[in-house]
Amino acid sequence: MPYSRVIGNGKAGTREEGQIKLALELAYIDPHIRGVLLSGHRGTGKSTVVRAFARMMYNELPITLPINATEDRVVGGLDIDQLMQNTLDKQKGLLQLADNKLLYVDEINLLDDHIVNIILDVTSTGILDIQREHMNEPPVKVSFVLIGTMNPEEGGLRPQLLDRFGLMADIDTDDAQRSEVLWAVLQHDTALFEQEQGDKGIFIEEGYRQDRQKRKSLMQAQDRLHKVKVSKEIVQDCVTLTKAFDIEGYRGDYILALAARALAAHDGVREVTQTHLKQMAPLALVHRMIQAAHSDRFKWTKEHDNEVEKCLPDA
Amino acid sequence: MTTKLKSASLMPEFIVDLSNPLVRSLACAAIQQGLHSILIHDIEPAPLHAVAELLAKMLKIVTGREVPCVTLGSIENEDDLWGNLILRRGSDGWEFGWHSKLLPGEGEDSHPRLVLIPDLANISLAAARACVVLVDSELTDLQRYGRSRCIRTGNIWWLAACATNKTNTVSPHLLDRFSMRLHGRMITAQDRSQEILARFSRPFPAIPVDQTGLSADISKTLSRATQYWPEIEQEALSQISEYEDVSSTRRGLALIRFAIAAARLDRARHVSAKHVDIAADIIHLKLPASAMWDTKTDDVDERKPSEPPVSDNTSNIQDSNASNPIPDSGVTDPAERQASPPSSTTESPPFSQSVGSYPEDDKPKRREIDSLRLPIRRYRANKANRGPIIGTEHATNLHDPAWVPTIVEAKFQYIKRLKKPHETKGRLVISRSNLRTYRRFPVPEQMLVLVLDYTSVRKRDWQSALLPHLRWAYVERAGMCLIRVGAADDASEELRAKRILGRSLLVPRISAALEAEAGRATPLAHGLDLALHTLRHSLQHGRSAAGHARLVVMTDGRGNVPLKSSQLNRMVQWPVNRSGINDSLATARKIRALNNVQAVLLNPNQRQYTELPWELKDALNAIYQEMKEQ
Repeated sequence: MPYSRVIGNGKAGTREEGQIKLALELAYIDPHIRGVLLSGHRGTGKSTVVRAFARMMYNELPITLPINATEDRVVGGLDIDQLMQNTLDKQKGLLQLADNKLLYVDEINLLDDHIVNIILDVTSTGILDIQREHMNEPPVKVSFVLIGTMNPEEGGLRPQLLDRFGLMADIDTDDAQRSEVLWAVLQHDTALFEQEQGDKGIFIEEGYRQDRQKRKSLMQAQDRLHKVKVSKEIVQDCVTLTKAFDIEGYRGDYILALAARALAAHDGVREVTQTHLKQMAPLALVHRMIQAAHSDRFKWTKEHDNEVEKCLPDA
Repeated sequence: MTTKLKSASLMPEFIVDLSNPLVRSLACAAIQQGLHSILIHDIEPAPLHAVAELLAKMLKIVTGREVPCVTLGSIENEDDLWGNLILRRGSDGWEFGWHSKLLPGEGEDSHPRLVLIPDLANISLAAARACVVLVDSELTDLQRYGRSRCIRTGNIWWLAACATNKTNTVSPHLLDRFSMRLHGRMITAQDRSQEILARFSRPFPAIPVDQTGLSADISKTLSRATQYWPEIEQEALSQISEYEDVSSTRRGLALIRFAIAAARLDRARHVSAKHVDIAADIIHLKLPASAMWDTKTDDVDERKPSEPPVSDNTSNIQDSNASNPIPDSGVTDPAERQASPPSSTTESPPFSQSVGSYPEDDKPKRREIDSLRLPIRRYRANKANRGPIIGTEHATNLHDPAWVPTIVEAKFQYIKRLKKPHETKGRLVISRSNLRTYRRFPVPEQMLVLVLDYTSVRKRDWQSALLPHLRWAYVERAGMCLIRVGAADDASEELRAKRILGRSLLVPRISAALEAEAGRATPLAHGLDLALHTLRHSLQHGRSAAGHARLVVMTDGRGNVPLKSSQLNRMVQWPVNRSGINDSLATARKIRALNNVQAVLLNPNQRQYTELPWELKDALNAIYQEMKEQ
């Protein structure tokens, strides 16, 4: 389904509306944000929106690390087919293929511990070192935006892996939105059928047209990112917020500042304000709170909103 | 593996006709994208195989191809399901090939296949993980042993069975992937006693009758439906929100797609709320008060599921073997049928509404009854190739081969060809000495999780009570997890329990941490929460999942630290009252819902609040043991 036809999740008219899409767009605008984790129950369109976004921005499906992946495909190895023809040919692993692109891990909380450790190593150091099965390669620098989806009912993520994700969006579809989602999917089904019969699927074609416009605006936002001003006061506010929420480590305030700047660029504004911080706080901080390390499902609540209001009185 | 029909004498017959709700449902699944996953509750194996054959025949009409059937059981591993390189004997000697049970081969994405799961509650962990990713998906990625493919999986149909009373032992994530929910009762929706009496009055058939032959009419209806698409009315969408059972987007989508498919079969111009109600009734959703069961419209082909189809051909009720002198049981003259409708009336839905489509919503989650029952392969005999690879070694068989090291070992191809040019004929030469297998990190298949509340065992001989469990862990080479609750030397974080993991009982830090003095606080809820996460991770996540775990909780149940306080490492509530205890009980109930966990409660039998250990024992569904005084 075209990205613009995917209904943004979250309660309509609330802050949560459109959070998934916003998180993905900001991670594209500023890759230093590093990654986005989409958490939600089954059937909430997590995988659909990620694939649609990758098609829109990169003209291809995302590099996907599935739960069936073996180590040779994650890290890289020798091409077995070529080896059988007596030719030594290397086969790049998924981590290398995803360099400067998206790496998409579906059902990330079901992934093998061993594979998770490999991802953690590479995302924390930015270096991929291939020393396995007769391969001795010089270290390679890799950088990708890690997108993960998970159903929290199947268990949480290790804190070290949670911290790898710059932003986290918790997905919840409310009743009002459900009809919208159903209608969109059915229109897409109808358009697919029309295309199979040789007709134009207007719903799909119009969707792709809107995607092209969206892509252009995101690329423009990426170009103006470094012209957005981040004042000392805003940086201090980031530090204040992370202290107020007992955030562990040093990434929380930095990511919050990056995300707020990306949002300002997204909105076409020249300077980051407290309003941007207020909007980004849930995405940047929810998975860094102490409860997140000790619980499967951790939600941003009204108490958290009140705490943000106290720290950002001018927002 | 293909399935075959059993003899007619064992086969429960059902009418192969679109008036039969089961047949109609299968036809909808065959023609409609998004309905390719079917779960049937409470169906016996024999009729399940007949249903699979019927669906395969319908798919052949719709797709124009033969549809192979693959069966999943309880022993498949990841290599079987997703694929692996195998050596097989070809026409010209041995050859390498790729084999996958579930996925289509290269260039075969458009070829349909049917996956049959006879018992969804009893599939292997690898199969469950594969199903969560593949069922009801359009695309999947394969990244395995050098193979890298993006595969279209929209041409795989899934047919599974699960007893209603076992649905709460299956992951809801997996259950939710099945878009169409049917019931085994639909097979014998007709008056079964009349059918049996009728069979007694007929001679035994000399030749087994093909019960699942498709009539020309069904074939024609299916073919026409694939070329037809009705208009969808907004009221149809609105009607979905009337159904309480349809609590998620996925279920709503399944219901509306079912209604669309039914309208396509009938060549109705519009999909209306009535179609939604008919579809909902077929799958046993509880009808709302607004159900338009009796409303007639001019637009819709007004057949209720139990009535015969209206068509130009009035003989379409007979199946393709109607020329057989012994009529199929249950097939009656259309006029006779209309005169005496089945037990369902035209005024009310034909099926009992006592069991809904989604039994997992009503039943409390619980462990399997036989959680200690070993799977088909015993643990020690199972050469599990699950641990991470730590090296390679010489292989004496083809189990878990390391292909790249093997082929590299055979690198002196050129020299070997020079020596025996006629024998090798330019092929890769691998000799026995070249074979390599992976050396894997040993993965414990059992786990012992100890939650020890040191504040509750004053003047108690807890070491003796714990000894049998430690002995079991030693004998089974079980992985260890020790969770200390209320230990004095964890005073810097006295509001939190502390978890220590070890590969086995012999790991020194485990034995060193077993003994401790009692502290001031008892964060029992946090200790149980850590146990829950540990158990879930070790039993369900990744390839190296343990098969079985034993949880031993030593406590008097008097947890005085609420869970949130432990998580934040500061008291957030004062006075605490019973919140610590309630949090402990709530977490214990979540542990109870895990499969393959045996829980044991060791009660120090203190004099105060003697009911609390019993409450915890019930919440965990644990075996109860008492400690003696020192």
